[in-house]
Amino acid sequence: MDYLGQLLANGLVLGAVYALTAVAFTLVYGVVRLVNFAFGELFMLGAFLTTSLMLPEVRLAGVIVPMPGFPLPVAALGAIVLTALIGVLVDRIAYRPLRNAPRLAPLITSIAVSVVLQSLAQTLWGAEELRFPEFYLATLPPVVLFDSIYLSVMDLVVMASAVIAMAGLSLFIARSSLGRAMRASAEDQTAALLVGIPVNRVVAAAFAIGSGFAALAGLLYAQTYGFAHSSMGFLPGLKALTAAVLGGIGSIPGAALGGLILGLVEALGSGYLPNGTAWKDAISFVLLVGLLYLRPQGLLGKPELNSAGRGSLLGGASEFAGGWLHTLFGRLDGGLARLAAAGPGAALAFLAIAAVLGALMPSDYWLRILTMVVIYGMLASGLNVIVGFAGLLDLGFVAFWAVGSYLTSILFVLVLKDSFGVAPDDIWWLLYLNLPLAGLLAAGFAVLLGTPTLRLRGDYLAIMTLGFGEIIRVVAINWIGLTNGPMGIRDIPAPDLFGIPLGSPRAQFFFALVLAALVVFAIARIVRSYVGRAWVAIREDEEAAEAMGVPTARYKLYAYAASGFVGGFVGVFYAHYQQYISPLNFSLFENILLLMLVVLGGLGTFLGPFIGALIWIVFLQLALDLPFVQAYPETRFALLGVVLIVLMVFRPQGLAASARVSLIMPGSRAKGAA
Amino acid sequence: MSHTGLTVHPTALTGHVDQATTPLLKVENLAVSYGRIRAVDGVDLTVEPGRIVSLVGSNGAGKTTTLMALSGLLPLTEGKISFAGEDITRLAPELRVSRGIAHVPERRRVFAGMSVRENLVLGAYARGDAVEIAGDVERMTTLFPILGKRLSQAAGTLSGGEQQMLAIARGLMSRPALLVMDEPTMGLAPQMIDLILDTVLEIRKQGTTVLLVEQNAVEAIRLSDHVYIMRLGRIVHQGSGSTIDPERVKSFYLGAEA
Amino acid sequence: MRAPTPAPLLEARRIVVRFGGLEAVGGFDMAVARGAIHGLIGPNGAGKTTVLNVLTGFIRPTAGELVFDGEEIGGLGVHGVARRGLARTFQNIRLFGVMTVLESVLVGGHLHFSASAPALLFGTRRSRGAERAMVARAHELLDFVGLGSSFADRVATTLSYGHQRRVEIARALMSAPKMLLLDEPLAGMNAVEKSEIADLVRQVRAQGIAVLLIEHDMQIVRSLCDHLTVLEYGKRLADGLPEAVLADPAVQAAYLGRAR
Repeated sequence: MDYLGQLLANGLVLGAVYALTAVAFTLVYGVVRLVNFAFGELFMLGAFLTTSLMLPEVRLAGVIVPMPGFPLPVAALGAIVLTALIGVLVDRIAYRPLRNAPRLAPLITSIAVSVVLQSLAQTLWGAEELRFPEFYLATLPPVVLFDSIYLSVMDLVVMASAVIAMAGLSLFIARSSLGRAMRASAEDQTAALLVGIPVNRVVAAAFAIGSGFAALAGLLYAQTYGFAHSSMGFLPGLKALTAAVLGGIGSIPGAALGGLILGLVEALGSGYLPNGTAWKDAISFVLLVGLLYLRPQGLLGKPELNSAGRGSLLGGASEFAGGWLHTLFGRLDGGLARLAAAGPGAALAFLAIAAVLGALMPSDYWLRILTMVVIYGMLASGLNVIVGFAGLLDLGFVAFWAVGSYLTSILFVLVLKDSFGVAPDDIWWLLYLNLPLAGLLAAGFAVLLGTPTLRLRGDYLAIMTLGFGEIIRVVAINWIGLTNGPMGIRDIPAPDLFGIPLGSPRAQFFFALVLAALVVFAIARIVRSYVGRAWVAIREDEEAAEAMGVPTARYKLYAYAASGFVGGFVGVFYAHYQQYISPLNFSLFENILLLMLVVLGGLGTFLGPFIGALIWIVFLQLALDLPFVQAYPETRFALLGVVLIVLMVFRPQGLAASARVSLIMPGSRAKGAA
Repeated sequence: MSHTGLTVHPTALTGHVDQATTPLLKVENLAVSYGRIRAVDGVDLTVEPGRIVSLVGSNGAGKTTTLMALSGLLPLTEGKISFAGEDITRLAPELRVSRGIAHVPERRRVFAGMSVRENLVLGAYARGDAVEIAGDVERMTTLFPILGKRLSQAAGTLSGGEQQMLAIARGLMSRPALLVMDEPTMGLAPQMIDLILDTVLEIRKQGTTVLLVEQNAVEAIRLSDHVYIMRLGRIVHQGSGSTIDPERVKSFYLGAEA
Repeated sequence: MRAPTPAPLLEARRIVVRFGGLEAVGGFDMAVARGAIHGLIGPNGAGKTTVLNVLTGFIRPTAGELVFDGEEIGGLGVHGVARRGLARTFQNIRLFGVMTVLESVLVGGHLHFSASAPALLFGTRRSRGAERAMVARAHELLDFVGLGSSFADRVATTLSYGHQRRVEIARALMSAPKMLLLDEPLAGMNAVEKSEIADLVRQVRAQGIAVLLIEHDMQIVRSLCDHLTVLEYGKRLADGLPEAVLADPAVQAAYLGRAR
């Protein structure tokens, strides 16, 4: 009883934090149908700002800055107000210009905002944890319930704040004029405008309140665990989003319920399941995936939220870009489009240039960088099949990559070498067997992931695939018997061919290049056929595709399978190239990075992913020469985020907007065509 | 003149507006395009205060598009809109409501999840005077007694006709000088159509100018002071109830008989 | 045994559609003869969209039978209906964003492709032959709808409205349908474009393909249709030859309203 009671108490505290953040997601989603991934970072800012305001001085970007040293309640209030202002600012700059933009643009922007805020926080407050100052209430002896449950006074404060904030918000939404206007805007924006509601201001208010709630949750979390850290918002943010979806996104009671359920399930799961603490993150996501499968609208949500407008992911011209920016984007677009349209010829030229570069490059350092460009280009190509061609946002692609890497590493190192003592040199051929094998296994995983998502669209699809990716990562961390856990797998042998070692940087580069040629060739063959046409038709207008006799569900699964195959296939080489893998290699950030590379280089093209990878990785290296970046390496990611936000705001159709590839088999054109 | 309190918006009667010569609404050379399609092409409309003016025409004539442009929901390709002497061509939609234009949209669009009372109160959102709102809700229930019985019911549970009444009442809550109604009888049973059209007359009697879009041409011609007939995005015929040629109207709807 | 009068190609019997408690269509009947141009008209809010959604498999009817070419198709789903030979165009032209005219038309032929993934990867002779044959057929259809091969490589959505409509019709014909459903094909067109599309519709009929036309321009409906069905309040109000139907006082009242 006392153990259970204690777990329940912990669950309630955690649930309160999740519920508050879930309200932020749900409030904004309800009004503007935007999943603002950045709430996790506003949560983190709430914690940092509170901590800073409570201290006498803080080290910001290495400079000691005097601080007021407020008591917790004052500091909390200040932090909530500041975070609310930041939230409104983010909406104004990054989201409002995209209100009528295609569906992928605001989603990418919100991910980019997250990246920017997190890197800025790391630049300002450093990579270390900032200890949360002790508040006098925290020094009081704990309250004892039923002789056995110990609740600290601060735990009670956390629960009470959450309850008061929720009740206050409910009252505000139900009774106040602004609250009513919010509900009206959520239901029907056009009708809201027609009765005279300034919808933009209502949206700003939703962002302010949501950000305030996220900040409150963040500071309560920091208070409970005793620290603030720049990445602290990531996992709670995802959990809160899960909670919001669980309860039915758009529904405030649903968010509260979802948060509470998630908090309790995690607490009980970590208490009662064997090795539960390690698995608690997986529990939430399994719950999410299961629920979305059975009841896509969530517990209390309405089914119509699971829909997305048709049309290109990023298509449609923007009217914002003018002057030099317009010219610049136009030039870039024209160049990339010509590259993309050039077809097999351009691919061969690209390959030839890469081969010459690889053959002549004197520095091993740059050879390794070029190899990374090729690897990331291949991975991005795999993601591009599902996102770029079939138009399904997939935030779980890293899982396929991980499956490939782990399959070959487990076989070579953990099974054959460690258990049977087989030397890798004797089984060099296994690598070549593993390439297609891992591809097939990952394709199987992809179909497994794809099947339950068939009924989902737009944002829900993104959230479910994200949950799936996280599950795979948590499994990789915690199924130590299979994967070696967080220690990762070492001493993965470098590739070898008939006893000729291919471990040198130059050999590795050419190995990668051959694989890349295979990947691009295979993708191009499939895309330039009725299959690719069906994918693009689904991307552009699913209903119309269906009406043309395309069984869209089956073709979506084909796209998942093809994408997964590439992920697994490349994953095998990646493991042998790095010779060491750990769960850290397969984080959500990698998935986001791949997505950004594809957007940068051109969605739905063959060379775009490689161009994106080239731009990013070369930039990453060149930037390291700048003294400022050497002092604050995180700013590179902030810059990537800013570039993407600017890109989405001024050119939501992407850099290579008019880039398209032919979808007709080469050589099958009738003579009449010019 | 306002025994049920449907007072006319101040700008219609006071200020620099000379009621005798200035039309309440003047639309000049209005053009609206959806991409490459020009849905409305060079429409001129004038609505004198205190009148009922109708815009009739078959499906796809551009009537709803004209109204959407009027309320600021669609950008204009060309043209100018003046209301009570003021150029409102570029005014934000919510500000047009506070200037005195209330738009009762096609298919009613009541806030289905909210109560009837909340819908009515929201209708007065653009008004500055919170005190008189309760009184106006009361007056709406006099105009539409059935709404009085359903005040705390969710609007989505009302019948089609009741929802139409609510949409009209919600529009009147802003105390508009001009009430714009888009197909208020669409999909309603004949009895309900009669009731709604009687209400239109009553609203005018109480001092609110009405711009009505109707597919039901016979009724529209009967109760309007002036009728514009639209076809393919243009005004093709206009006149008062007595001067309009019914055979021409028929041919616009059903095509000329061979 | 064949009946003396050929059975209709499409027959809807007592179709009912209810959403929750609301009855959108209440016992709708219609029969479309093979090779006919059949008009389906009705005032706004009469339930045309719902009927259309039933015919194209988007909605499963609550009750009633829907027989197409001797087979029940109610509830087969959108691509199931398409597979049986009922092709369509959309009210607001829905071409696939970035595709060229030729690619768009080829998507319409999706049903007639089949090559396995390995066959595609290795570019087998058969898969190449199939693609070549379909490309040739698409060019023929582009000629048929009056566009010609010079348009083949243009991005379809950049064409003029009238040309886009022709691409849409070619795309629908690419599936070699038994019936073509045209949802307001003349909306937003000028008089010249309208009469050109009307001629095209007649040519489609001349190929032995039945046409179900939903259209508001009564002038064209009058001159183009062999048969007319009028829908009001989710039911069939009138049915017959166009002149007779449009002269029917009940039909006139449905459109113009009745005086009190």
